[in-house]
Amino acid sequence: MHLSFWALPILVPFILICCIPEAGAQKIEREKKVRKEVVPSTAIEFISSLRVTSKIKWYHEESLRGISWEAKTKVGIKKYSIEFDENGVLEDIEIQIHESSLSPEVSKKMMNVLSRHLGKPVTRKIQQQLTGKPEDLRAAFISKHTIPRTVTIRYEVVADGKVNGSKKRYEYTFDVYGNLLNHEQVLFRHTDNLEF
Amino acid sequence: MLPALNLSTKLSGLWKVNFKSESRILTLNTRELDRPEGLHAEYALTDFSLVISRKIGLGGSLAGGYLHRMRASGASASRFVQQYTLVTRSSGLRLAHRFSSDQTFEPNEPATIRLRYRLATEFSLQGQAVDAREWYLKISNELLSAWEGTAHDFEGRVVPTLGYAITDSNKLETAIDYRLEGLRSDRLRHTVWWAVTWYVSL
Repeated sequence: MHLSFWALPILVPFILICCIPEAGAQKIEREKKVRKEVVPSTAIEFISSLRVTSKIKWYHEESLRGISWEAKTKVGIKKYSIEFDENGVLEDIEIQIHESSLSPEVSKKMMNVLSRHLGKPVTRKIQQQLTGKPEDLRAAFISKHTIPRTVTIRYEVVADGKVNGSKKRYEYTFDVYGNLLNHEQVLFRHTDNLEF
Repeated sequence: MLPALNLSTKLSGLWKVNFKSESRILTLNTRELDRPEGLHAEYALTDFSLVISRKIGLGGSLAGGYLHRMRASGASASRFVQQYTLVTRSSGLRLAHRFSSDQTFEPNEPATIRLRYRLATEFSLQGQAVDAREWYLKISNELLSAWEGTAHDFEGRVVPTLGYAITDSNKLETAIDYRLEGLRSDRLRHTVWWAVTWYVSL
C-alpha cells in the first residue's frame, strides 16, 4: 500500500494517542458543542417558545454534578445561557449584565465583600441567574425588564485580586440582596503549549 | 521533522521548571528525489533546554534558561534564553504573546543574538474551551530579528498546529512549521518542518 509522506503528520500522532494510557482517575468536567438534533425535545420546545431570532448554540456538559444541556444566545447586547438537566428540564437562565444594572445598595454590598477578600478587586463578569418555574422564566426572558416575584434571582461575579500576596481569580455567588452565598477559586488550564 | 518532548513541573508557589528536548531530522534529500528510494532520514541535531519561570499576575510569566545544542557532527552550541509570556482568555479563545531574546555561542562561529515576538492563538474544535479528550487548533506567527556577528536579518515563521488534549496536563501536537529566512537580504530561504510535540505537566 502506497502511503503518501504527507499523510504521516496525521497518522503518527493518531497512533501515538491510541498508545498513550490516560493517567489514573481524572476529574471529568467537559463541555462539547452539539447539533440541535441530539438535544432533548423538551429543551428545544422551551427555547422555541422564547421566540429567539438570533443564532442559538447548543452544548452538552459533563461534570461531577451530572449531565446537562446548555443553549447560548445573544439578544441585542445581552448574552444568555439557558441550562437544562439531562432530560431537558429547565434548570436556570443566566444573563450577563453590567454593574450599572445592579441597584447601588446591592452593588456596594457586593463590592465590600470583594474588597475584603481581594484587596483591589477587578470585576471581569457579572451574571444574573434566574431559577423558577419554566412559565415564569419564559415570562422573565420575553419581557426583559419585568421578572416575576416567584423567580429566584442570584448574582455570579467573577473578579481578580490579590489573595495571600498572589493574584487570583474567584467566582462569587450572591443572593438578590447582595449577601454572599458562596465563593470558589477559578483555576486556569496549563499554558505550557503556549509558552514553550 | 522536529520531534520534541516538553516536561514541566511546579517548583513551589509561583515557580515552575520546564525541560524540553527537541531533535531535528532532515527527511527530504532533494538530491535524491529522482531515486525510488530517495526519501531518507538524516539526524541533524538535538536541543536540550532547561527554563525556570515565575508567574507574574494572572496570565503573565517571566522565564530564563539555558539550551545546549548537540549536532550530529559532534559540534555543540550554547544558548541563553529570556522570555516574557502573557496569556489572555476571551470567549473560548486563548491568546499568547511571547517576547523573547536569546544569545547563541558556538566555537569558531560569531555569536548570534535574536529578538523574537510570537503571537499564538488556541481554540477548541469541540466546545468553548479545550477539555480533556478534545481536539484543538493553535496557530502561531513569529517574527525574529537576528544579529550574527555584524550581519543582521529577519525571519518569519507561521505554525498551524493540530492538538489533542489527552488531559489538561498531557497534550500531543502536530504542526507544520513554515520558516522564511533572509527577509532583509535577497537570499530568501523557505524551510518546512513537521513538528510533533508531547507536552506533559507533572
